Amino acid sequence: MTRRIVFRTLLYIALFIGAVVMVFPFYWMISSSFKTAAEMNVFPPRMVPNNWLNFDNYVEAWHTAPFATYFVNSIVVCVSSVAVVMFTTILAAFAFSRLNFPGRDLLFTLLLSLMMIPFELLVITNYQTMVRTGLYDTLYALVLPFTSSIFYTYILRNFFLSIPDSLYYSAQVDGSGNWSYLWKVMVPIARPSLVTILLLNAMASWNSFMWPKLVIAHDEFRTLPYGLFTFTTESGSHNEIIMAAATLVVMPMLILFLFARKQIVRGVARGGIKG
Amino acid sequence: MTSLKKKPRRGLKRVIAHIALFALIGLLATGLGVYGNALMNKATGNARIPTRVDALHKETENLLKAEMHATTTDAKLQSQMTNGFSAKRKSVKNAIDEMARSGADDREIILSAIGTYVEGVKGKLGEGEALTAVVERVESVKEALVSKISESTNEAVDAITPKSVRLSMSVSTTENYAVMYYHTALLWIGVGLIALSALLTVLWFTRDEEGRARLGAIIEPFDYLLPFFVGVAIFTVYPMARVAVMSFQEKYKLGRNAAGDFVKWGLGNYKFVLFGVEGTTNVFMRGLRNTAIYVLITVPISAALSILMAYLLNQKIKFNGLFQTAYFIPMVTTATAVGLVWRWMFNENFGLINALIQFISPTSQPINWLQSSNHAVSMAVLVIYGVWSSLPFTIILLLSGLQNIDDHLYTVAKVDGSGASRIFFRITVPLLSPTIGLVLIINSISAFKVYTDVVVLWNGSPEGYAMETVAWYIYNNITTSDGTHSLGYAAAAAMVLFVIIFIFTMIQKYIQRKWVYQ
Repeated sequence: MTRRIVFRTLLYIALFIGAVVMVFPFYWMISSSFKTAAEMNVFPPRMVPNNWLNFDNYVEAWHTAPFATYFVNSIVVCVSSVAVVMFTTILAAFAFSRLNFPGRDLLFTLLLSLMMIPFELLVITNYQTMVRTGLYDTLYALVLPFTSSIFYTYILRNFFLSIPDSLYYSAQVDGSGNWSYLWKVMVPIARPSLVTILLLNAMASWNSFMWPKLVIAHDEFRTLPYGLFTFTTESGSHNEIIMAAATLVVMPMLILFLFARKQIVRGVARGGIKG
Repeated sequence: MTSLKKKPRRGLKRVIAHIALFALIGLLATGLGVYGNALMNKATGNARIPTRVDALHKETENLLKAEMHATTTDAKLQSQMTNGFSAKRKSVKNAIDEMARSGADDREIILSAIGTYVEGVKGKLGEGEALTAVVERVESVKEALVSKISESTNEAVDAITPKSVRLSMSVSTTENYAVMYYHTALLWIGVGLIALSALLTVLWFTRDEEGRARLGAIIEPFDYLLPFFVGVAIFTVYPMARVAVMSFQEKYKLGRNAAGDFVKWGLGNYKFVLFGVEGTTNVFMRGLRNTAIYVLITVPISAALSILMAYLLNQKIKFNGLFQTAYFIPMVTTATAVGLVWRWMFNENFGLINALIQFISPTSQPINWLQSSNHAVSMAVLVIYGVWSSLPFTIILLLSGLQNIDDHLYTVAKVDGSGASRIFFRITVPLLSPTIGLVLIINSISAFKVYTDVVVLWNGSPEGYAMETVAWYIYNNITTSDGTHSLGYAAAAAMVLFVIIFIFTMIQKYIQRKWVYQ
């Protein structure tokens, strides 16, 4: 019996230590954001800021860089991207699962193989395309290259395939066409899958850094991660302000996660590829 | 008796809609293509004028001067002649420019130029024997000169084709760049769409109502696929092919302001990327080394730790939700922001890591993590951060894999009297092995592409600390436009990366056949 208790205690201790290791950087980020410069530049560093309500750094960060603009840009890009992707994905998944056309399955297998191509390779030409069509340094450049996702289509198609044929046939007898069947029957049933795709897509869009860094030059079109990065490279070593800015950037996703944790976890597990 | 009237009608509408839409969009695209073509021709014409003027001017001056100098061996006279040329040079140039733009032909222009130059020489030489000789000589070779000059001018002008203009125009100064650059593609698309529309019309008229409805039904899937495939075609398939081709195009000029132009086909890009230049460090190879070390260390450590944590999380514990939240937070947060915190924690003077080390062993020196001359230290930073940030995702996958293992297997084993570790190694691990294999592959693929981490940790300049990665190398070559960077190098590097990832994955899959439970 004692053996069990010992094991259980060790288990909880191990889990606790692990959890601390995972969470601590965030605590550090938030607590540092409330410190003054003097409190930051001491060694050994202090665990707790003097004044937990010292919002000076936040005010400073907000004034130094247009975080409001970055925030709005991120939201616009995120919402547009999600909307467009949902549309193309739902339609394509429907075609690959419910509709019949010659070469359907072969085409889908080919499509899957395309998933292997790293974006780093495609980036070169996509960058050129954005420049040549005059979309460089616009928000369109952040949305357009990502309107189709083979991965999300794959997930949704699998789900659609699991919806029984009988539903389709009975709908046909009732006289409904493919379009209304898709939107009135299949989509509502597929809601869990769709929510997963929506969340993964939103996270990927919100956190994307590499591509915006490449195609955006002007401050007015920067999104949060890239804006934050410019802010830190330009504001030198005022780390307490950097921490405040970082906290601002992290907050929305953090809050989303607290609300939608189960969905996100389930989605990642099912998808098997990082958002 | 009553047939389903609704179905045929829907199909009909679809066919008609497609005929109309294809025709409309086709016409629009063709129109734009034609417009772009016209603009290209105009631009080519405009580009040719300066070249023509220049060639006419230079050739006339040089050849004429040579002829005049040939009439005497007196150096003083020769220099006087040269002065005569210099005096008239500007007015000749302007005259040529004017005449060229107003449509004069080569012969007129050359003769006029010759005349003006002779005037200039006359002014310097004054009346006399020398001048007579010159004038005589010029008269005799005039026609020959005209044809020679005209010939070389035409050569220079012919080198300026719409194709060369298209590749060398600048995005920022050319209006309607997009239409001009893509005019060929627009034409093809436009004509293609019109052809499709025509085809549909023909099919329409050769079929009865049933046939037409069936036509509509055949078209239907493509409607659903179209939005998806437009994106895939433009942003996945086309770039894949284009980059593969680009990797063989040498001295590819950067495409921000000067569109892509290259010198020749060859393996030069690959040679530069893989072997570098004698005497300079091969940045790509250094990046590759860093990336390879990163992959080989981070992925296994992360997998091992994650297996342990997932196993612990899978036990029946209270506060499950709380623990899960804690473990999975790093996954959703922006890597840029999180990287900044770690950068601060690794700070030499005020960082938490050094504080911890001091706490454990008070006598040790603070380590300069991010700017160390010891490369191993910098790599350690990257690896630590890499492992930490890959844990959440990996744990999720492994946890899910663990939960898929049937409970009754455990029950049976316990009834048989197996201890916990026996159960773990004989049951859990083998049944978890497919997930472990999957995790190893996925994580190594994304580890090969590491970019944001190095950029954030080293404040945008990992190259200053020998911490480049392959992805960084590619991006650097896209955005830097000086002589030592080019899109060709980026393309070659990207192809190499792709091949490496592919081979590495294939090797992993092969090895996994041995130990992954099927």
